[in-house]
Amino acid sequence: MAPPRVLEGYHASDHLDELIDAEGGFTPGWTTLRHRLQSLTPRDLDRLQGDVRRAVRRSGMADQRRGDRRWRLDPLPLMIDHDTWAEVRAGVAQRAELLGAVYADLYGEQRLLAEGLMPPEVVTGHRGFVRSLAGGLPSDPRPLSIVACDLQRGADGDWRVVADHVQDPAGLGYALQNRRVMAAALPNWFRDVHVHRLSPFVQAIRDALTTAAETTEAPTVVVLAPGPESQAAYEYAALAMDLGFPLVEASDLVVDAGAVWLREVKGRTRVDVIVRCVDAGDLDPLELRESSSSGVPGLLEMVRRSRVKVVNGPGSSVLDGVAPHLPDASEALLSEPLLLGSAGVDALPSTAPIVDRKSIVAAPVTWRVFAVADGAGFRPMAGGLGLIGDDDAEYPGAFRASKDVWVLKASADDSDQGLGDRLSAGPGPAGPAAVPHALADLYGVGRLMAGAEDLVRVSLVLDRWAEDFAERPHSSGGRTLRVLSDALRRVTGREDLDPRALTRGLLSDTTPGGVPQLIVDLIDHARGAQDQLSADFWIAIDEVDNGIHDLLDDEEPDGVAAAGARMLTGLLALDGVVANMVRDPGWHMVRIGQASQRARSVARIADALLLERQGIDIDRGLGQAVLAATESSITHARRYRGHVRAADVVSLVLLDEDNPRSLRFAVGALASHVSRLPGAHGATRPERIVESLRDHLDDIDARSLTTTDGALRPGLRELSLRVADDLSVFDEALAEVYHDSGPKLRLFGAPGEGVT
Amino acid sequence: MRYLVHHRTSYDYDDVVRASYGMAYLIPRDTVRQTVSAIRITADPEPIDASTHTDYYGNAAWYFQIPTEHRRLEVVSSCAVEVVDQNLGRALQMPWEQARPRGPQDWRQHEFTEASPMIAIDEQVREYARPSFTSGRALGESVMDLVHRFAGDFEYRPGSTTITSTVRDVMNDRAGVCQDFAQVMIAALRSMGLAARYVSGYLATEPPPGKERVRGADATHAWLAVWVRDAGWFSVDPTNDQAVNDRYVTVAWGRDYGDVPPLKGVIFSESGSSELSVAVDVEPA
Repeated sequence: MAPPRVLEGYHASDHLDELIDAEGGFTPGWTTLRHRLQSLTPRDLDRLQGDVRRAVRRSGMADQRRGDRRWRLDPLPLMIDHDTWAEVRAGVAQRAELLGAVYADLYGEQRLLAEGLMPPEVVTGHRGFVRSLAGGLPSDPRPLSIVACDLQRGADGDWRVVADHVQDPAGLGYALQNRRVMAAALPNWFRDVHVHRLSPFVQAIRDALTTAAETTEAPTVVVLAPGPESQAAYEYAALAMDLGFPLVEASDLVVDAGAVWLREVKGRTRVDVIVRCVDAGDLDPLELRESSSSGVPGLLEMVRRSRVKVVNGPGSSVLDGVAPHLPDASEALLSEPLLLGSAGVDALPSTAPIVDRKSIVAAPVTWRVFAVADGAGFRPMAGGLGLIGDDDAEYPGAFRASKDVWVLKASADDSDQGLGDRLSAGPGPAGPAAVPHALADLYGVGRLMAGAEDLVRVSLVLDRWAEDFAERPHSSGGRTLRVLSDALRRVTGREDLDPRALTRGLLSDTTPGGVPQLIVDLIDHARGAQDQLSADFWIAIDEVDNGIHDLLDDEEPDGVAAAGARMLTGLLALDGVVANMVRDPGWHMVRIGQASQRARSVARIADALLLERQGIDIDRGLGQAVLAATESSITHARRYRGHVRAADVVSLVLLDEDNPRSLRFAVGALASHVSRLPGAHGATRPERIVESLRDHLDDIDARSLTTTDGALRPGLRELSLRVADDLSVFDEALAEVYHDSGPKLRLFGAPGEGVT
Repeated sequence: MRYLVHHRTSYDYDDVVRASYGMAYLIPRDTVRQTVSAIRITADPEPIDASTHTDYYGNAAWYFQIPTEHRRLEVVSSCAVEVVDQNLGRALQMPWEQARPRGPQDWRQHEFTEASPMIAIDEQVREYARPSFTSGRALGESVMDLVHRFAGDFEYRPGSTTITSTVRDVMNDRAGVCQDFAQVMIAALRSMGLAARYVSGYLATEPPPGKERVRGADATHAWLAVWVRDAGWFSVDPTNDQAVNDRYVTVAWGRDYGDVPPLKGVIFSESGSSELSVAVDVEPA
């Protein structure tokens, strides 16, 4: 047997350990995989970490905007053997059921309070006790749909609860994503052992949520998440996408005439179930006034009247404080002893092996187990989220690292999650919704994609001229270079005098106007509509990001061309991802964003480079630059046999209907996509604006654009201003019809008003 | 006494309001000393959806939703109320310490002994309360002593307090309106371990001698009540330095103002400001 190289020096100190048992042997969970672990070399560990890191990045889980707070996934799973699972499973199922029963009691009969089994201050003294849902009414018998318990294994070897999560399903989205990454990164390991797969459980979650609406057979379920600026935005979007339910923000929902509605551009849909991924205080500014600017006014009234089901129930955070009283509550409400108790405050959690650079070390581990409502009871997911370090972190993303949890089956024949071929209770997923905020974000995605591509192309053109002529400033090429870099400096507001510093800065500085900032903005918008974008989107973004990092890591002047080409590859891949989107309003909106940005860019480039006549040689160089920056060189060569004249260039990049990179083509595409948005009838304001611009372009005589007045070509400036003005009016009109969530909400009836 | 209560609240906005959602605690509840009938509550523009529910404390809460554009919102409520004086008999003679909730059987009163969102309890307010609660003193006497001291020490001054005024602000300024006085005195009672709740309602005013009653001159009012073991709640009005009598019509009660505002709501509008006007008429019938 080979010496256990990377395990050398692994020791578990005073804690119990999930890899090595008290006698120094391997724990049952690792029996099968121990050889794989033992045969790992430091190099293997390196490779493994690299694979996992890359897969995490490409899944979109890592948040490129917050470099240091990336989602970290340890390559070693937390292994749970079948016997341990059987015990934990029963305990978590009972605890989730009990938490539901406690909720129902506290908001209903209040036996626990009346019989002194729970001190009143725990309940009425808790900020999360929502009085407007309590008393007077029959309480919701099934208030919880998704419950999570954080477990730690103490010195006596039993898993115990350190925290219950009943507000929102924090971590569930990550748990599902982690498994995808691990199954791809460690396929051999995954094949060696019989691990419960998670995918059947997704259907169980879907069922739990659709059956939460007891009133209707085919309920509409939405996932209500905080905006993209929230730290948890990614995981809720990923969860919504996995479940196939639309991801919405509060402003997409409206209470009207005794029901809750989803405001889609095609019309409104009645909502039956809201999976809330926001705190209860942010649900309804009318009754839960913790936040004055968000939420859905009237929502709590609808909950009270059973017109909509919010899961978990809006009053669930009161359960955060009941843990010490659960043993009594269990006897009273379930007539059973509590199986899974709470851990003492000073308990030492067990450790699990994690990869730390070139070795494997032991670190305290917490296991988050999720359970979903299933009939009258709860079904725990055989799997979960392992959390390493930082016990105080409230949100899983703030932990030092996460782990996938592999729960082993007793035998290979066991069905995954014990679910067999269970059929879905509800109808198939509804998919994303064309709600105002998502359409606004998709428009932004389109604009930034085109904007970043155009900027990369222009930068690459400048870089090429700089490479050829920077040393020959008095040649006509050198003078062309100066006009080019002056124009680019003017347009971008940068001050670098050296053209190569200018391109490098544009491609790698995180200052406004540079490519990195455009990509950050692009990611922001993509997060806002993430449920509409395929997972490949993030692979392409990763490629652009890699290009940026190549440039940051590489100080050599030649690096720019290669790094820029890499960014361009990523941006073209993004365009390919968009090409494969379903043809829905969201897709049209991305295309509209791209076309409107492309139109602006092309008009601006032509104006910036060709406005001033420079003499025949420089004009030819600038003409070539315009063609290269607008990716029209080949078309031009084919049509004009390499003879570059300003009039031909202008005609080709601005007015040619058949050149897919021209201004005219972009405006035509804009018109076509706008006309296919819901509600378009040929004469809506956005349609009218675009059509008028198109007609204007069709009426322009190409010669008028290059007619000179002294050294200037005023026609070009006029056209570029017209394009900029028309499209900014177009933006407003489009926003008003499709992106606007209406006026802001305000409160009235402040304390003190009218009271003497 | 029997009264006809008429209450009109209106908001005039400086811009169009596209939608309005409101919650009103304007319907007087039945209590041991009052019976309510002929309840009517409406809003203009007319709500597309409106509904009354009984809240956690047994108050009637009226929800309404107005989907039509408007620049003016008016809510009008009216009812007939039969009110009698409160009568707690000999229970007010009990030593005040005995009136404090204790143990699980008094759990419902427990939350009225604790700080609530708008009522903080601090050492300053405890120090203020203490002289009225000497050892073994009768509950009624202790509470009325505090009411009298309060009326002497605090100045009634409309406009002196704002939304954000706290118990501490009012203690420092020694000035406020009925809602402030009620909340500060609640803090004082809670600091002694007693259960005290906030009551919103109306006080029928008597016209000056020789003058006709003027309609709409009455006002919404606020006072408080302290829990008396085995006898119910003893209501007192620090603003008017007296125990509550048959001229007080109770609308709703809660831990503090925030549980029972007469009217609160959310509008969708670009409007930045609005003008509020309230007219209350409590007419002897």
